[in-house]
Amino acid sequence: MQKVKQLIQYITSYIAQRRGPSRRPAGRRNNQSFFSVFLSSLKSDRLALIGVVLLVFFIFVGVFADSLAPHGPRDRHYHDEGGIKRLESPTWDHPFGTTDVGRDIFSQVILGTRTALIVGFLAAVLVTFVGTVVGIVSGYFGGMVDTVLMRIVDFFYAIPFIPFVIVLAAIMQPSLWNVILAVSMLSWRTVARIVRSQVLSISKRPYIKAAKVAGAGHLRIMFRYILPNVVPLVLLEMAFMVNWTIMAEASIAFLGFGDPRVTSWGQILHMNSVSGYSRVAWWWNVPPGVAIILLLVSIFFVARSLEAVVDPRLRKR
Amino acid sequence: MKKNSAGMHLTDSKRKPFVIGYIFRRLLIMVIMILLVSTMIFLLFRTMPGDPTASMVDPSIPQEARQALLERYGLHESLWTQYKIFMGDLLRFDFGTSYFYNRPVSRVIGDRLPATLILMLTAMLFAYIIGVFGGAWMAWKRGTRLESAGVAFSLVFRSAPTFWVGLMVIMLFAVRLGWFPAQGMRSTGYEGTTFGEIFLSLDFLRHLVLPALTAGLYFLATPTLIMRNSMLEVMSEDYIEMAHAKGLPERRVLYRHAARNALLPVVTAGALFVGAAIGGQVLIEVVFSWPGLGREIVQAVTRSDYPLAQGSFIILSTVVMVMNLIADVLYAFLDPRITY
Amino acid sequence: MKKMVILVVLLTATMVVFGGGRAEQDAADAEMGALVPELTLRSSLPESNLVNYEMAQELSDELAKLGVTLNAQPTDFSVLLDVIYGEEMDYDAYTIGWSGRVERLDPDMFIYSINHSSNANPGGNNTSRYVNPEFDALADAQRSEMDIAARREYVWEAQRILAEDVPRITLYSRSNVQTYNHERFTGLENMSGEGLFNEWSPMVMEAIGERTVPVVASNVNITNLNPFGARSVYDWRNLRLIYDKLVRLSVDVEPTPWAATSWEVVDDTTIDVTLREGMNFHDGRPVTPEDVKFSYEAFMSLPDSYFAAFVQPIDSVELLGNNVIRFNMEYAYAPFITTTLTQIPILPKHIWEGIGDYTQYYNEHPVGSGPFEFVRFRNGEELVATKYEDYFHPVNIDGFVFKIYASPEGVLTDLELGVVDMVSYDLIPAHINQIKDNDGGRYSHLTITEAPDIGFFYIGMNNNRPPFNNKAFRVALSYLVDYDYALDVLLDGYGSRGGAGLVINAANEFWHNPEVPIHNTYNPERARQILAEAGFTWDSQGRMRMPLE
Repeated sequence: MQKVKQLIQYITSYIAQRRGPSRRPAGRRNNQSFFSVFLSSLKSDRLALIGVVLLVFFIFVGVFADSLAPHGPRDRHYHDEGGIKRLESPTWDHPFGTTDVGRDIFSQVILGTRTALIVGFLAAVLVTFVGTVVGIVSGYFGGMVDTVLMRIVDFFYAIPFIPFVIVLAAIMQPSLWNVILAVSMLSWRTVARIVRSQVLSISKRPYIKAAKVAGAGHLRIMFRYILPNVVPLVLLEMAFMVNWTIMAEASIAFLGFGDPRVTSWGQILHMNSVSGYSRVAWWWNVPPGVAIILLLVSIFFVARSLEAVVDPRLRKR
Repeated sequence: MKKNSAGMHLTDSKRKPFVIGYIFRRLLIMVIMILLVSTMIFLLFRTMPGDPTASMVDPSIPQEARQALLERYGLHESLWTQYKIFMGDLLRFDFGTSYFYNRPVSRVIGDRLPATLILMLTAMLFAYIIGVFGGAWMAWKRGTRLESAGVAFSLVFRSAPTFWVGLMVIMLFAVRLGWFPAQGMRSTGYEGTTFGEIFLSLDFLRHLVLPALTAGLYFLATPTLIMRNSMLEVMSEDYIEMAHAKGLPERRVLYRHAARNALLPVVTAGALFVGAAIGGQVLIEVVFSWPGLGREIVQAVTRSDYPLAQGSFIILSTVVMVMNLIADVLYAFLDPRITY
Repeated sequence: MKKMVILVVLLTATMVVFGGGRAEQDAADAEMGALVPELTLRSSLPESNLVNYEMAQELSDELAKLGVTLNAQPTDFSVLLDVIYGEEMDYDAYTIGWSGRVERLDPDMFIYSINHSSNANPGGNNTSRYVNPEFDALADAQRSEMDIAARREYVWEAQRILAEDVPRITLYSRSNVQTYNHERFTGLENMSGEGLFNEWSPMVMEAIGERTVPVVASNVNITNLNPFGARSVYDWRNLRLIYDKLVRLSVDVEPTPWAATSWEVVDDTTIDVTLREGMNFHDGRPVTPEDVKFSYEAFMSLPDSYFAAFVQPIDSVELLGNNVIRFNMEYAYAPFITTTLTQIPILPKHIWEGIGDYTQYYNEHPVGSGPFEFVRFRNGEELVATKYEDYFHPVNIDGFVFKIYASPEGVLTDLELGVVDMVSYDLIPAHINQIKDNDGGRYSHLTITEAPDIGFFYIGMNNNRPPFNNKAFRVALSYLVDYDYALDVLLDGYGSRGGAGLVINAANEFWHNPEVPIHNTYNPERARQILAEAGFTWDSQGRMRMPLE
């Protein structure tokens, strides 16, 4: 899903790589200006503003999920006269209604927010870390190192994503960590490729050459001089990775390969479909579905704006 | 579409002797990759918990019987011996026999692959036709609310889980409105047997609509946004400015001059994206009971049907690689600046 | 950095203070018995059995209140089987079930196979590892007793012992609730353990609308059309209509002569069966006693077939002429007529004898002599069969289509749209409720039928391991199960109540012993009391400890 951007990046960087460095505007070196440009673009870009507001809202809900959720995810709720509140449409007590065994869906969706954010950010950090390191090393050293690393990247590109995650989830017992691991194992490839082509153009710059001549070590050049240049691009990729992971987790959970003991949006939808009430209880499947859409859209909107910062040509228009 | 495909006019004039060597080298690498992927998947399945016989037999049959089954499928051999047999068979395009169906894996896959490919390609076609025109249009309308709405629309469907959209689409178009069938690939008892009868019939097309729509909406963002960006880039080029200066009508400038040049990255991205998207078909196939390879792989994994899961995985992976290769070759073919 | 140091200091201080207090308590605790070990309960995944999954989570909560850690770990079915049938026997407890297939009406399966100590070794069906010589004697006796009244005495007594010993806790039985379109078809019978798509309905049901070929929905794929390779009841639901059997169990579960016209028990280990004359296979060749002998011997030669357990007691098959087939048994086997003769299909020798390894044969186009003739099978989509015009028994419909779905949800949609005429699996409670609610008249054309199931779902306990080797613990556990929650809430009442040690439920009228008191009420206080009486204690931290011995 982040493929959109990934592909634009891939294609444009491909072009850049083929056409020589001049075509490709490099990321800005200075992070401060990066964020200030981003903030100023918020004023003109309404979608980005919506995105930021939504994202802040989700992060708030996620962080304070425990206090915000009125009930435990597995608590059963009873009527005053004793019967279980089964499959009740939204009421004041239960804003998103109840499940077939009387659980509060509102609380589940709130707790699911936290799961989504944790999964999304952890996997994204892992992916971007590995991807960036591989990309920088590969692009900087070139030659044999580059060939070997890029062949490994090619190898991971040849693996169909969802089937692989299913296989991994089946091999390891269902758990959230395994979903994170599975997603990370396959997704660093994209980041590595994009970062590499960026590094290829950066390392041709005069000041890098100057640093080499001055006797700076490889590590120093890579992380002191090159890394800051790819940070904006990496941040952008990270945003797409968050989305990719959240979607992957939801899909895996929906197919029944997730951890049933963890409350996540995908798991809520899975239980809804397993219970057989998916067509009756709209309040059970619409909220988690809408939550996924809103969170992902907000990240896309923000990322679009980031992208304009990374690539000033987009900003001009 | 009446336009020529992208940038062809560029290539026509200065087409290089097309490098067969390049493709050959790529194919060779691909074969090595397939062998590596096969090795990986072989090893993965051997570390899977659960004895494959468990899902094969009724629990009430005796232990000796399970042992006999293990021996029949060669599962009592050492890992290395199993691997040698597996790779040997693979080189002869033999994926073994499915434990579960007791049938050659190649035949099980052969039954399923067309369904998966047709669904995917239809969805891609749908997404591309709408996306290319929509993207061009959005570039034209840049800076307006309409453009923002278009971007938001495509991103919302990219953010929506396909299985969820699928469920909603079924509820609306199949259950409430009753316009299209919700499940499967053809009507019950449909007689057709040949490829043409099955895949070109009206009945099949009616079944295809909803799953293809769901997948297409998900794909939509790729061509739309790439086309938009690409158009924006092309439109700032000199020759478009020239066309404007010559006083050519807007529409003509948009579609005649700008669009055909902007298509290059869209087409290339398409092939790449097919490769990336094929795995995601699983969810749509499950929701719509579509008898494709994705659904088969899910079931094979849950049943520990190693040969079938391995075979399906290798085939899907090959499709991905072929698509990546096509993307690169297309790119090289369409862009005259590339030399090898 | 400074903060870190402060944190570490604080933590250390806390540990010292609290740890010091704990030392005294530990000294007191040491005089008690060993801690009840941390336990793992392997339960179903929610999608394969939501009720088992929920009940396992609930039990975990209940035991936590008693100071016992029980991790309810949802486990894939094949992994679960691997664990409980594996060599290592490395498990504490699990949830699983025995389906109520019609041949299991005979008590041998639920008394002998799953409880006898000879099956308590790895791979055996006694996955509770329950061993009781007194019980074994009864289980053996019922097996070789050919007099049905005397056999029942043994079976009844065996049930009494199981209810006392509680080798497993039965959670519930699920009713066979299925549905069909009454505007199109009539005369369907819902059989206990079999449902609507049993051996009889396709023969006796009648079309009352234009559609004469019913569409039968399944949510499970057919795996195999080869009778030697078929591994599940789902395959057999179709194969048994294409292939015929010597005896079929009637709707009232009486053995009824079918392809055989009669049988005679010559002595305890000799049974003579007479084959019906004038039957033909679907390819026109006659059905002969040689075909029957061939079929039984083929199954006897395969130790890993689905029917292995049924043909195991057969020593040899002889042809006596005049269509009489003699079965010589190795030992007296009471269930022979109700299970063996009613299960083994008659295969055409002329097709199968040339095939080397039966199990490897794909059998693309099955040829049998049953009431329906195979037309085609599209993997993952449908199996089509047509009425066999030459059949000796009347068949009222023109064939059937067995349609395969990815999920019950898809079936419900097609039931509503009229694509599907009947289901072949038990509806989940949610769908039963939706059909009964009939919102907007969408399901008016459907009739719901219900038959009690003789199968059951249970919590299995490894009787070899502490604390499950302690009978009081097992009994106490049976008071921690909320049977009402399972039956009334999770199953919406479509089922019957479980109970401690219950294996043959009331639906199996003849064999069920109504006089055995089964405890099947949720009463955590009583559980605590039972444990205390048996010497279990709770230490200073509220953890449960084993009795001192």
